Amino acid sequence: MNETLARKVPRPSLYLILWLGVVAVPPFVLSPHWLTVTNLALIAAIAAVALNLLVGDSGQVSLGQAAFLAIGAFTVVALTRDLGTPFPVAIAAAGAAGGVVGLLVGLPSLRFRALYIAVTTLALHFAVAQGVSIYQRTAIGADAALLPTAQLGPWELVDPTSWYVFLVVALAMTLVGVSNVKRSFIGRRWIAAADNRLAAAALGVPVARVRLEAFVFSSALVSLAGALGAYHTGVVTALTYHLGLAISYLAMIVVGGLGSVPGAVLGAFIIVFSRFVMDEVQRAAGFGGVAGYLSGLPPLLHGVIIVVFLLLAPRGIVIGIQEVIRRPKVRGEAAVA
Amino acid sequence: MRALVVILWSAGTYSLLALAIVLVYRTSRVLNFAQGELAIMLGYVCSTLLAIGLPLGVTVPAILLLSALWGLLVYAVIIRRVIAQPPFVGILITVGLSIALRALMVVFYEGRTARLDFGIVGGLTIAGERVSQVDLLSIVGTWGLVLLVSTMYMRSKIGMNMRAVAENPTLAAQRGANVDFVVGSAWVVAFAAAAASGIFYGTSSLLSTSAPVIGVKATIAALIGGLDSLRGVVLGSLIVAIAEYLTVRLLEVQYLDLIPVLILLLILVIRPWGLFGTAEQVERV
Repeated sequence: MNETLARKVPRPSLYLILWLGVVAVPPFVLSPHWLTVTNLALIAAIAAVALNLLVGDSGQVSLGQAAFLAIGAFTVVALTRDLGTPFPVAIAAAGAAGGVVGLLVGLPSLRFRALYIAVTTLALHFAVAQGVSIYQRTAIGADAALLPTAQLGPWELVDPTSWYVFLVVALAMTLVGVSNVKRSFIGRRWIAAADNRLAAAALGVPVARVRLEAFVFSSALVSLAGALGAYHTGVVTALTYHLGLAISYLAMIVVGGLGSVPGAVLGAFIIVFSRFVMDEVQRAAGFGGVAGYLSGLPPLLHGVIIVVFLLLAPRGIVIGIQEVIRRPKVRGEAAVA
Repeated sequence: MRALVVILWSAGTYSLLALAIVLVYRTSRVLNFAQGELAIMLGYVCSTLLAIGLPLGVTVPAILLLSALWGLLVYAVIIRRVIAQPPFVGILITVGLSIALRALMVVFYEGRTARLDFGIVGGLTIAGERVSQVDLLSIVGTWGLVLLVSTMYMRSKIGMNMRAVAENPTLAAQRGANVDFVVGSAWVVAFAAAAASGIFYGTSSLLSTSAPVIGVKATIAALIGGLDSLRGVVLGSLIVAIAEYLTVRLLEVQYLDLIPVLILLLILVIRPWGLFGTAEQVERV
């Protein structure tokens, strides 16, 4: 007992040092372009972790991912344009705005069947897309809104490296926070309500309320990521937030594994990087931006990924690979038993 | 008169699609998010076949047959394997299919719009107003098929089996219904209905990569009516179509996608099971 404890306790810190080592490498080896892509993946990872909490753990499919990202981004636009709100306040306000919209949409949808949220978030998507483009036309009067440089006290986030450092910390905080919420009684109720609604209700879990909690929490976190993404790019335009974006996030969590926190991060990196690698390949092949039909390839890939993974590796790429490697062993054990 | 034609035209398309959504949802508990994409994609395929010179009398049956086979394939290869899993897996699958179909439209048709020209140009004068024959064809066609499919569902043996499977698959199987066959046929009918509505849509409106939004409207109509009722489908579609017409007339076109959503949210607050759905226990938040 003591021996196992002694062996187990130092392991997390060992992992931590290992991770710190891995995380420190990219700024030194990647070109500014690819470091920026990494930053985009880090932001996507925050939003994907939040979405996975909703879909993977709470069993509710949201098609409103792009809408909540847009809500975060345009909250920041409105606050910085009209009030000159500083970066940390604007980010927090964006999260709050996402939470409020989540509450308003979730309240009517979640009383009945969990699947209704898929339809109402899809509806929300069209409503928000419409809303932000009207706002963009009337209030901004241009094709895009520019954001000021993100400033944390004396620290200005201007180059890819400073963004990288900031985003790594932000993602780490998200991961620790989300993992803790999942482990706490709050998150366990979310999972219980999704796994078996009746059993959870019998144990005193208020199922609809718990679903709503998960939806509001996830929406707020997604909007926060949307705000970060807006600051990172510096330019906000309504066209960014199309339905394909929402579905690419579903592809991320399906690839990584539904309900898995590290899986969502991995999925975000795979999907974001695959898009930019595909861009590179197209450019190398001489299709640079001319062949419009090639823009259909990433969404096609996302759709195929979602279907194929759900059929063949429903628990994601990591567990899928593990299963393939371990399969002979498991069969052997079964034969012995 | 003009208003009636516009409303009946869009309500017909929504009804046919919503009927397919309800049929599939009732039998296999999968909400098909790809219904609109399917319709428009099949409409595009139809335009291609016409463009390479295939006669109309061959093209339309070919598309219907193709879509039915496709429905069978999707059911047998994909849906059957996830049917026992939690409902959100089925939704994710159809969402994946929908984005893949949208992408295929972009890849193959490069965002071009298409129109199905059946050579029908004239108009009729009804009650002192000109109504184009293509619009009339679409209205008669979609509503006729809605009637046909619902008669099949309510009166025929396979329709009865579908309702039995919807009610309780295990009991239905006990009483001799071949559940696999029944659910499979629901998917076949749904895909064929998608093909038909895509073709009718293409004859009197433009096929484009943004046209699949009719699937969203149909889903909203099905939900307004209650996911388990045929009367609800028709009423829900009429409500959505009337709301859209009024939006365009009284407000602005830019609110076109917004108003049906608001109606749906309102209905979900008052009667979460839809206008004609079976009242079930609503959970308090």
